Amino acid sequence: MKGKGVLLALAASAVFFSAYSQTVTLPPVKVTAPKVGGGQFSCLGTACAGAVNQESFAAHQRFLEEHERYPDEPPELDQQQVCRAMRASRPANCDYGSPPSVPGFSPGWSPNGCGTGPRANWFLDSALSQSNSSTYSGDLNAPFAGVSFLAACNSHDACWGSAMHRGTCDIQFRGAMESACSGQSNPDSYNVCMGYAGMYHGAVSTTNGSNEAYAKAVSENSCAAWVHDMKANGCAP
Amino acid sequence: MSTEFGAKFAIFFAISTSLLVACGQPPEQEVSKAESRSGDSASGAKKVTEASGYSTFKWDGDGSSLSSEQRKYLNDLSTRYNGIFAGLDGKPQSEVDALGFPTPQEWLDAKDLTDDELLDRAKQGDVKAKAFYVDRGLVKLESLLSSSGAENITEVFQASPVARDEYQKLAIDTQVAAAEILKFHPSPFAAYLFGQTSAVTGGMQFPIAASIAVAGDLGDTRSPELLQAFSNKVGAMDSSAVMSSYNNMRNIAGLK
Repeated sequence: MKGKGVLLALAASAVFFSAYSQTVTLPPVKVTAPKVGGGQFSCLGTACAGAVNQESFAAHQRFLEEHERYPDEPPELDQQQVCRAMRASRPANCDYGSPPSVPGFSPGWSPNGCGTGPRANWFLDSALSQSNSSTYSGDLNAPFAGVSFLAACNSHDACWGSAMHRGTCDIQFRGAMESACSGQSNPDSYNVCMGYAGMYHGAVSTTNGSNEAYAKAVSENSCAAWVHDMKANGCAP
Repeated sequence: MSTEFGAKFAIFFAISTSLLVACGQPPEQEVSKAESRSGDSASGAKKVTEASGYSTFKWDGDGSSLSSEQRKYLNDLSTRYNGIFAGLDGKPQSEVDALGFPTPQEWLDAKDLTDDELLDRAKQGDVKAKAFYVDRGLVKLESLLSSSGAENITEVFQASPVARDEYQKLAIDTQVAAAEILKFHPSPFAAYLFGQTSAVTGGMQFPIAASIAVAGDLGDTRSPELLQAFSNKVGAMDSSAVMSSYNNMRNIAGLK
């Protein structure tokens, strides 16, 4: 069990977002900086982090020019300047008044299973175009009778929606489906079930529709993070 | 995966594995210099018979009786599988058999079989033939990858619908066959093969790390050293991804 010990040791010591978690937890803070007059700017999204870093760099440069040395403490940033930079970094097509619902930022977010909602058409077409099997149950959440992929699909929704690394999300998705298949004791049934897992993995990892869907998920996450950070840091739109 | 997180993984990975290695592995069987060569040594892929009568594993024989093509094949194989074969040198053959590893001679023999011949044997229940068939699928996918210039097979498929249409079924079939071996004939080698397959067909390295850990659970005592070496080779990995892959592989292998 030494290999298990190694992996458990590293898992216990690391803080991570689990793609299998349905809990809505805010992503980790990317950057903080002190405000003029007290308090801190805090960013969860990359747009905000970029704006704060940009202002922080500019403040360092100003201090250097005035004092011919770098400051001993991080310089305090002006609220209006940071908010201006954040407004300038607004993600494309992001509406401050109606941010998209994404995991991590939206308490009301919920996964939509295997191919319902906006992903329905491309997923259905992609997965089933590769199947000429009479074994399809007619239910995308459980394409092989008796084996549910619903939890795997929901976790995959959460992983993409959180803008996690795509390849990692996709392999974890396949692994979860393979695990769901592992209850099949008959080799033929097992292989058919695993074949569905492979088709589903192929559908989310290699198709044009999946590329667009992942890009949309990342874009929505960026928007939700920007709106959250704007509000959290007291910036008006 | 953030850079910070990846670094954290690498640090804990290295520390943990170092500690486990330090806790002590059973010393590997040493090959006696008095050992004599068995009759199949002409192929160069030898079982080495000791004076006591049992044989020991030797991945590349003494090298002199292998053709350059055979030597290259075995070297490439060892490289592709992150050194899991060469590290068995000197172990009793019975122990290597119990770990599920084919002999070098079996690899070389399989190399000369056609796809159909391998598949026929696999369908008749020959587990090693199925493993060789899986490896053949991997070679085709790896060849496609190297000729494409892409970083992984999913990128190849994303960039080329033609390649996707031609090779995706192969990728799925290969993955399914590897999983079938691990589920119905679990062994350390089956775990390594499944990890390698998952990595190639999924375009990520971390299933290999998970498979090395599962191989350890299935009895390969070299697991900590192999994990350390693999970690050193590939650098930081997402620990949550490794863990979930590990748990999934354990499920497939019937480990609770």
